[in-house]
Amino acid sequence: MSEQTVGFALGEDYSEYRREVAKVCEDYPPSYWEYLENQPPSGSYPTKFVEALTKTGFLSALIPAKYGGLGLPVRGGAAILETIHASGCTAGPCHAQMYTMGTILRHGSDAQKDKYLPKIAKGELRLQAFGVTEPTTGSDTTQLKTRADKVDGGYMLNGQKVWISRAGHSDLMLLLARTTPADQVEKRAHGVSTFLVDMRVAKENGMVITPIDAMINHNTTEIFFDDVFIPEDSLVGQEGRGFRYILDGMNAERCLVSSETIGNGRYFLRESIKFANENKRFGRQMSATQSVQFSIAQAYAQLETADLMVRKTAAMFDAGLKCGAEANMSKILSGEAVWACAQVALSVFGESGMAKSSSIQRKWRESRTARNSPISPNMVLNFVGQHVLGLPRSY
Amino acid sequence: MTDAQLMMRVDDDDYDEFRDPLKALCEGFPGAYWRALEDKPADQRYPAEFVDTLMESGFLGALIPEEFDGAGLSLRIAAVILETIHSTSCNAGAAIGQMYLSDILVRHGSDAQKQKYLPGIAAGEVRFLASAISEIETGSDHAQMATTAEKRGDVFVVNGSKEWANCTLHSDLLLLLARTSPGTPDNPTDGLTAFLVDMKTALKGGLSSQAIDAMNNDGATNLVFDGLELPLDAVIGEVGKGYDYYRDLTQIECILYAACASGDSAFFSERAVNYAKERVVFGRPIAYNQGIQFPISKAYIEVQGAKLIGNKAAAVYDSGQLPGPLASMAKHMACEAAWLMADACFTTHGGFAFAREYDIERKWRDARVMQMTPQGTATLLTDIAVNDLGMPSSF
Repeated sequence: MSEQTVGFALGEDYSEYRREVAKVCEDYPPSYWEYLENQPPSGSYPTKFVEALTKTGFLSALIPAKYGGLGLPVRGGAAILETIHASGCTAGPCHAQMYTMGTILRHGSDAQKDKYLPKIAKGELRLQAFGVTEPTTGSDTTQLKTRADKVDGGYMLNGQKVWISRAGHSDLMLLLARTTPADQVEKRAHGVSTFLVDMRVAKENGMVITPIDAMINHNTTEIFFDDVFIPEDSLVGQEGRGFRYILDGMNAERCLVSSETIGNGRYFLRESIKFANENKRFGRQMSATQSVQFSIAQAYAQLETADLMVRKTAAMFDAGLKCGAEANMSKILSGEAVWACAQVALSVFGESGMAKSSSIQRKWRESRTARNSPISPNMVLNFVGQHVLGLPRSY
Repeated sequence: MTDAQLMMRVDDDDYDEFRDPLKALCEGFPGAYWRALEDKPADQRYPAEFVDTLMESGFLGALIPEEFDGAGLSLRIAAVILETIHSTSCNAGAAIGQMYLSDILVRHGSDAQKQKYLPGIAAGEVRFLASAISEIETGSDHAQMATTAEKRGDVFVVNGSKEWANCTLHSDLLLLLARTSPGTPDNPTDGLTAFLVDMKTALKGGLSSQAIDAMNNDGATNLVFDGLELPLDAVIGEVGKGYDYYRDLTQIECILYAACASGDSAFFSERAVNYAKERVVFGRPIAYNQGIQFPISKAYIEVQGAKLIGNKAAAVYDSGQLPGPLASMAKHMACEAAWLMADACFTTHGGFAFAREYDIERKWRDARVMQMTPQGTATLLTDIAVNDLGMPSSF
């Protein structure tokens, strides 16, 4: 398909799904999320919310119908996630169930697809964990140190991963590990393989998951592998080509988390405008003050702009076009836009936005995190500089 | 709410059939041409040869319907034309009025006015480049304008003054807004009437025009109306409803100026990238420095976002609806992005940015001015806040 024939909708798309999602979210008010934040990291998972979403089938939106999913394009998933966030809820604890399977779908064997996808679609199997980042290499992904050494009947895992969200609430994990030492490959990205690890078994074989207490409740963890055996059929695709497999998954991920960010922006704006219109200061509506009004209008203009880039990215991804630049630009534009929305919301609400009972401060923390994760904005600027503008690699 | 069915293409480097010949045309007017104009006194800086060439090219008649001998093209294509002009060393300010001011005649003019003027405007034989709205005392507070048009027998007699009216000395026609009756408390802009002024006749008696020496070359003038007599058929549409027509016109204006800003961004982006790759300091091209590369990448991302919102506004217009505050958003985002790119380009060039022969400082001045005219930041944000987000007016 060529770019000339690919288009995207400008108005409200997937309205029916949006309505249904919003209805589910009504049952999970700010107090629900506040309660979870007050639990220790190990007990803070929104189990009921995730169960309710799973029942609707929305988390299997992207799984093809023949495996029991809704078979929607990425844009459909984006509309669902945006709505969850615009409703005041957060999809962070479960969004990976929606897209992590993409790597299996596109690069897995028929046996892997038949074995896992129907159960993932039903919610019987949770594939929520994506093991890429390591403590000593960060964004320098190809230099990761976790090893998968070939042994009889499988691989032996040794190493450490960090900031692996939801690992304690997932049955399966997509793991990136080195199968050929870095000094024996031609290209930096070679020699790294993707594995689908059954964590229920791995936990019995030496894999240890430790929750990290963090600024936002994403149930994130550290994972340690100490001679953890995984069977041969855990390998996804070809050995040594795993980096490429996760890259296209990352474009879908960037598009989807950007749409969550857009949803958060819509939440902030709706709440801020309502508050500023309803509350008076110095004898007039707060919203009649230019410092408030112009900041809101500016943030809104940024959000509408970012929304178009997200829609464009999804359309390109769904059409099978290269969309690395657009996915990255979506991340930056949505991150900047939501931060503008978050800052103005906190200013408008003042102290009342800082109370733990208010979702403003919770979403404000989420929004700051969204600007750094899952990709550093500096890496986006590097990508655009190098691959779009043709500037030299600066790092 | 944008129509759910409305679609936009994912590619935006479309319409090469317009871009290529325009680029060739603009190559005939390199930086040296524009710099030489700036060396002249304020009343001799008009880029007459450039405007003549554009008039003959037919591109400026893009929006005029085919029944009046225009090209009847979409607003999207009109935007492509202006974007292309601004992506070169050229500036369309001296000719842009020809492209859209006549829309007020298309929508609201009498059949006689349409027949008399539109074919000539479409052919570039009649110049409609100028509008006179703002006044020195009242600026953007148009409802308070003091210029009056008093009906005496079979003429309107105009008295008052206008400021920053562009191209009045080089236009056959002028769009004038003047008060014919007092406004009402509910609608203070009621009673403002739109007139079509024949400049050749007017300058012979009743109207004087004085060039303003300004930091950019837009052919700005101040006008003094001293008993100028206009025939009754100079009125456009209904007496007293001129401001509504003008507001409609500003929506097209915003989308077209957004396109100019996107063109400027392309100019700055290309110059910045080329210079960063060529200029060697500390033993390597400065593009290797993230201090140089990141601002260019960041601005590029903003520019890509702004282009999407500009294209969306044009798509809404081309679908037969007036885009309202979306047009304001398009201009605001495009001008902000252009200013960011202008500044990144300026910084990249270091001292050479000041040197006139590089054209960076000239385009940089233009980009700053375009943030304020014809609709400035505060006006645009207010339009978004009041007419889209439902906040009260702040003034």
